[in-house]
Amino acid sequence: MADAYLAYNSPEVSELIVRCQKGDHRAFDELVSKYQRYVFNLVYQHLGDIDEIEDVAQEIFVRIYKFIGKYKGNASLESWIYKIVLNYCRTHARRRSSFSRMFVSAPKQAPSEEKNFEILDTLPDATYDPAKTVEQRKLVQDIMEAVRGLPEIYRTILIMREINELSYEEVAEILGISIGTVKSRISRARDLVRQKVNIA
Amino acid sequence: MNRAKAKRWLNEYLDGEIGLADKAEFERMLAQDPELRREYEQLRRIGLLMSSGPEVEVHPHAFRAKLMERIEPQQRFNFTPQRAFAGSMLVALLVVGLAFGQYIYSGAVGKRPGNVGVAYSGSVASTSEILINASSSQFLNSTLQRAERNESRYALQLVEQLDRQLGIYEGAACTRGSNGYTYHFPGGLPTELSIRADAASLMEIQAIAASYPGSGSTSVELADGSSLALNEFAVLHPQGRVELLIRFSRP
Repeated sequence: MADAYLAYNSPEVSELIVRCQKGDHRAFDELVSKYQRYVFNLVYQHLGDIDEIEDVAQEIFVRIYKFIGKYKGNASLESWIYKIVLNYCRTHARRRSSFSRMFVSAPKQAPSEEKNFEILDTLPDATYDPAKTVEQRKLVQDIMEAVRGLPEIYRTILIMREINELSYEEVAEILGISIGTVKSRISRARDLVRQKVNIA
Repeated sequence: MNRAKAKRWLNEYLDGEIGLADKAEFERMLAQDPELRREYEQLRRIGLLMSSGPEVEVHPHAFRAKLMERIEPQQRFNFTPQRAFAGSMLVALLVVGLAFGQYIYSGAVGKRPGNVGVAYSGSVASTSEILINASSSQFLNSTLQRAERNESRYALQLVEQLDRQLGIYEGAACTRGSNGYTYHFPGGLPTELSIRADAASLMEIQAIAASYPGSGSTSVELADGSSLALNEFAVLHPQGRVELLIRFSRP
């Protein structure tokens, strides 16, 4: 049975999938351990630094648990998880935007419990040239702001390509579009960001 | 050179997806066209800066523990051969409960709920397969879920006792076909089931049965097209308790 998943997954992951599909609780725990960082990062990249990152990640894993039986091995498990993350992030963003419309500004909830994650700055330490690092950080912020301001079809594809470094084939498979459409959207997304950000 | 083609090559080059022949030609263009080179440098820098953004680090255990706590109750709803068979027994029991509620009621008034016990008598049917069609499995699932969520710890206890005590599930396998699920029990199927419960517990089971209008069936369909009918039972009163004997046999 695990053989069916070997085309796109390692033998270890294929075995894990089969065990999860048989309802092995411990196997699902292993799967969460293996992919939790991946899912948190995708949520952060697609939704930004929101208070509900952890809740969103929880909901996504609950969906993975519910639907793992439907995974057929036509793409890698990572791509399959990516699809679930994207679908959930879209739903969440829509819900958040209608909530904001209803209440003008959504009340910010105080975090009720300790967070189980941290957002780490990956830019180099400011030991060599502090001014340059500050400038670079500001530039990253400006770029990400421009990316978040893009229409969803361009934002998603640019994140998939530039941050997640997915190939055209992987992007096409996850989004269910042709490679030609992937190429034209990436090109358009890059142009839009370049127009918005003042970069030398 | 067509501007659209240059643009396509620029993006393919940035993404490492350009063909070898096109790559050489595009690099020549880059060397000769300062405007194209500037655009390339800007886009390359945007890509590098985007990928250098913050990363999320998850604390290794806390998130998982919280998630697994949430998932565990859902796991109980999974449709497995064990639960399907136990579920069909439960439905049969609910039917019996309905039919004989009045009889049991006479001995139940004023008694507190107690424990439920289940025992498997050992006789087996001539076949070792049960066929549960899609609508029955859906019904069993929803019955179990409702019982687990709301009403009855007794119904649940029964299912769990059946799971534990029947002992027929060793090596049981489930195959999914176009008609539903077929469950194979290598040790054969039980045809006789003895359920011990005090009167108040059975009363409660009867109340649950009443909350499922039209629920259940008095038979279990077998893979060869025949069925095991629920055709015999006995209600005994050993020392203030009620004992219910359910016997399945071919019609």
